[in-house]
Amino acid sequence: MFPVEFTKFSKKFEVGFLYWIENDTPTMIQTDFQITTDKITVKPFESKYFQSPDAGVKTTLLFANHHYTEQCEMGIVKGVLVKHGDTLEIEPHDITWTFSFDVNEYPKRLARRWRR
Amino acid sequence: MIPAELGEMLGEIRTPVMFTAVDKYPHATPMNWLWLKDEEVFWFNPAGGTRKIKLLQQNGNVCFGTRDEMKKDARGFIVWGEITRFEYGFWALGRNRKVKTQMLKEKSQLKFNLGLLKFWRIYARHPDIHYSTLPWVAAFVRIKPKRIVYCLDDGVEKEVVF
Repeated sequence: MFPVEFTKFSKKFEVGFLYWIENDTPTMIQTDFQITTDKITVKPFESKYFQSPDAGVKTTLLFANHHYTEQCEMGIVKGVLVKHGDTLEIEPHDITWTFSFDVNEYPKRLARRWRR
Repeated sequence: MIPAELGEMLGEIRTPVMFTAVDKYPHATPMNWLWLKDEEVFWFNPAGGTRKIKLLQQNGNVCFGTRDEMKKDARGFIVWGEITRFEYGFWALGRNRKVKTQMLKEKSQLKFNLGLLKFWRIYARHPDIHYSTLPWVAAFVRIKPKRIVYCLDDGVEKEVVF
């Protein structure tokens, strides 16, 4: 079970990027994603210039808002990509999500972490 | 030479890029950035003392991309490149002050916030923080693109290989 707090947080974002390593080189693709308390599904964009990652690769899903200040919010999911039928899922072992923060309250409520 | 439309977009977008370095699992974080059109290179200014710095010193292959304002169907790009220069520390800030100034002027949304000063020690050492208030410990990383895939507002993808 993934934290309910994280599933709610993830709904704020419409763009996600999926990363993996090929031949000692990182690569990425834009992806749709859906996070529930049971599973994390991803649907990489189709493109003639990109190849979707294969099941079994170690992957990172990153989604963030468009700020680079104390207003920055982001979620990072690290895990292994698995295929169930036609859908790709991430079996995570590490989830981190970072909130924007109030300067007066800093460093409270900056980041949360879940580990399997 | 990159297409004029791509150069224009790289100059206009202010959204941070989602940047990744090689690690056991890809090490991905938002990063502030700068495109220097005359040299056709990207510059980054990652915070010092972080895992990202160590990873970039070990492997110079990187990948980064963004969508304007982080909107799903907005214009955007993805870049595959390699580090061609890596400078670190106080003197690097002096040598690259023009890059830093241009980055702050053209791309950054950073604001000098007096309120944060009271937390500067915690802030600078926080393991989860993604940027630093201490610019003199940050690195300057110059990246030469090897391949860029981009799309404008029409949504049509195009590729440039260097």
